Order: sequence, then C-alpha cells, then structure tokens
Amino acid sequence: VSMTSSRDRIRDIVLERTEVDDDVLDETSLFYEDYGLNSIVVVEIQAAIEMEYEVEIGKEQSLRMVNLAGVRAVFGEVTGIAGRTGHVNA
Amino acid sequence: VTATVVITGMGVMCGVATGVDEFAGALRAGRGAAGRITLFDTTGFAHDLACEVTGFEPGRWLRGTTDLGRAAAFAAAASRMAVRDAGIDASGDEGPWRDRSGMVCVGTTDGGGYELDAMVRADLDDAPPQVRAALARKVPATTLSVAVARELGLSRAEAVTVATACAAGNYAIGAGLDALRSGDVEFAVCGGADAVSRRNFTGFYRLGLIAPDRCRPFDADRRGILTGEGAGVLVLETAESAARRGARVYAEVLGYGLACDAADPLAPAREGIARCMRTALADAGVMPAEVDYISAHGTGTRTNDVTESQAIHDVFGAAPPRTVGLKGMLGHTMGAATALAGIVCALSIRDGFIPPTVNHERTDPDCALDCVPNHGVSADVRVVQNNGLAFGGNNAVVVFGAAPDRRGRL
Repeated sequence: VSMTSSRDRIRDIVLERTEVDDDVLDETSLFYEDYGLNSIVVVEIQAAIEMEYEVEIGKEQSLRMVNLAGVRAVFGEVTGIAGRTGHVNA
Repeated sequence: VTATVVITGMGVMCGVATGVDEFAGALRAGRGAAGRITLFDTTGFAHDLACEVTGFEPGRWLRGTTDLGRAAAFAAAASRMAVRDAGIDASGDEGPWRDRSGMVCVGTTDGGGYELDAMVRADLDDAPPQVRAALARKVPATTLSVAVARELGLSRAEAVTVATACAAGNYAIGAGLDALRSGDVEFAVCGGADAVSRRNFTGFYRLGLIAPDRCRPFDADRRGILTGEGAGVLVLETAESAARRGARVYAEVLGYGLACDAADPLAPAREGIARCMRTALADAGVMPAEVDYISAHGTGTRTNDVTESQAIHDVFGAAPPRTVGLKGMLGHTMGAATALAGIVCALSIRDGFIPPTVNHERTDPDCALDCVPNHGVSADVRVVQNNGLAFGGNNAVVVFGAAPDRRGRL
C-alpha cells in the first residue's frame, strides 16, 4: 500500500483538471503560454483544492497559480503544508 | 439608402428606479442600489451584497398574465412601460402595432436562472412533480421575449432571445437596428433582462469577482462586481415612422459592432475590444473624435477595467472622451446591463447630462481615464458609445446620437 503525499495529490489535481499528459506536465512550464490552457482551468484547480482541503484561496493568490510550482506555493500558504520540500514518494 | 433608426420609447426596471423619469433622477443623484441579498440564503458566503429590485409587483405593470419567471416579468413590465412611453398604447387598447410586422429581441445572461434555483430547491425538498413542471416552464431563455410579445399582443412580431451574457442587451439593440434598416420590420422592442440568482452569484463568487463592499469602476482599489437585476427596453422605429405619427425622439441609434474573440472563456482581449469599438464607429459613420462620452462596460474587476481602458486608448488616442462606469450605481445587471446603459446614453443626449462613476476615490493609473468621478456633469452630448463586453470575448458596442436635426456634423 502506498501513501500518497499532499505533493502528489496536488500534481494529480492539476493533471485531472488540465488534462495535460503526465509525462508532459513539469513544475515550471506555464499553463497558458506553454500548455495552451485557459482561465477556467485555474478556477477549477482552485475549487478542487478548496473543497478537498477545506481552505480558501484568495483572488491575488489564484493569480499566482500560473504553473504547477505556483499551485504548490499557494497550496503551501493556505494549508501550511510545505509545497516543495515535503515531497514523499512512498 | 439605409433607414435612420430612432428611439421613441424606453422602459426601466432596476434597483435604483422604475420608469424613465425616476431613472433620470437617480442618475443625477448618483444613487446606488446595493443592499443585502434577500432573494436567496447567503449562508456560507463571506459577503452578500447585490443590487436587487425591491417591491416589484408585476400586476402593477402587466395587463396580461403575471405567471412569469422573474426575469421575464421584468422584461414584460419594462416593455409595457416602453410602449406606453412611446405613445403606442395610450388609448388603452392593444395598440396600433398589433398586426404590424415587428421584432421583439431580449438579451439575457441567465434567462430563467432564478426559477432554476427554485427547481433545485424543489428537488431537494422532494416537491410534487407539478411544482417542478411549473418551474421548468419558466427556465428557458426564450420565455423572456415570448413574454414581451404576449404582454404587448404582438401577434406578428418575431420574438428572439439573445443569450450573449453581459453584452446581450447591445446585441438585442443591434438586432433591432438591422431588422429596421433592412425594412424587415416596422418597429422593434429591444433590450435585456435578468434576475439575481444564487446560481449566478455563486459563479461570480467562485471566480473571485464579487466585491466585498462597493463596486468601484476604474478605482485603484476596486475589488469586483456586485450582481444586479432588472430590465431595460427600448422602442425603435424609423425616423420616418416616428415623424409620421408625431412621436417624440430621444436619440438615434447610429450603428453597432459585434465581435466574438473566443480567445479565452473569462479573460478579455484588448485587440478584440478595440476591433469591436472600431467596427461600431465605422457602422455609425462616426469618427472617434466625435464621441462625447463612453458608457463603459466598467465592471469594477481588475482585469476588465484595465483591458477596456487600454483598448479605449488604442482607439481614441492619448486623450479619450470621458468614460463612465455605471455599474457602481446599478450593479452588474447582466443581460440588462447594456440595455439600461443604452437608456442612460439616450437620456444623456436628451438632458445634456453625463452621469457619474460613483464610489470613486482614486483613479487607477493603469486606466488613466476621466471617469466623471462621483458627480455628474452638464455637457452637450451628441454622440455616445455604449460598450458591452462579455465572457468569451462576446463583445457588442452600440453608438447613439442626437436626433438627426440636432446632431449636425463636425
């Protein structure tokens, strides 16, 4: 049985909402410019995180969710769970 | 030769006023419609303001059925006011336009969205099927224009509802203009209507676009929209028809432009907005320098106001005309927004008055417009541009002018 960390869950949420292929999604490529996604996708990612973790992401924060790293940073801010260093791949 | 199309009647139902005269007074006073939401339970939302129509009694305005959805009732009531204002049904009978070919065109964002809320409630409450069926009949957007045609007894009018969201009222005015120019119809009853609903509010809330306190278009500290409701309806006919029956003319509809950017579902595109304004001005035969003021889409969101301002500078150059954001007073009435704003434009032309952008403290330097902060100004208004910018880049701009005998040429 594997224990999925919150870091992996964030990646999963982004994969689910963006429908970008797993081997294509990296940390720094931009949702709009590099993957050709639109603004609704970011709203969906925000909503998914808010519902699953019972947190609230502010408007200014959501504007910084421009790539996976940005989503992780905002996730870290609103949950207190470290985005980058808390990576456990069990 | 293309027919000259004029406005001869107007009907208003919104949070600050019922009817044209009250509306003109509210605009002068800079009155706002914001208040606590009463139409649905706001538990769980951090803020709960909207611009509702309070104390609406459909039976006060409608001669026909009042068994209508909330938005449809707004549309029908404003239409009844508009034809009365145009002097069409002064005699109290069904009116001389009953058997004439005409167009009814109503723009909307949500159609029967208020009834859709009620249907969900009925479902959760396990309400009997007939209750749900009665609500279901009021949900389709088509009910809005049909309600207007029925209320006015217009048996030969084409009834169209245009669901192009926040620019829909301008689409409807444009459709009426086309129908009259082409000679297809003898009159057009055009406008927009929407009702405040939980569904709509929740959507904008989810997008982070609902202001916690006030709507402040073009202000450096603006924080979003307040949703609103109501209807604005204009009676259009040719100048020849108006002259023949001795009707009062508010203004001429000089032209309009449409653009569908389809670039992004939410984010406005600067080039698309500029293109739409240029298309409208060209159709109107008006040079940018002739525009006396702009009624902006001006939602009070960070993105809209900056992008719209940039596009205005693209079209009008370094010193654009005064640009007013009416949504500080009226809220964002969705499909009704550009129709109500169109009525404001016509009143400005009639009264020589430019209404203010209220709730204004400091203009955002990224907008760099004279938004007529907080106090309206007297001015000789001959040409007004009315911007409507909807999600998806569904943009529509209408240009109004003083009646042909007054406008002259630059």
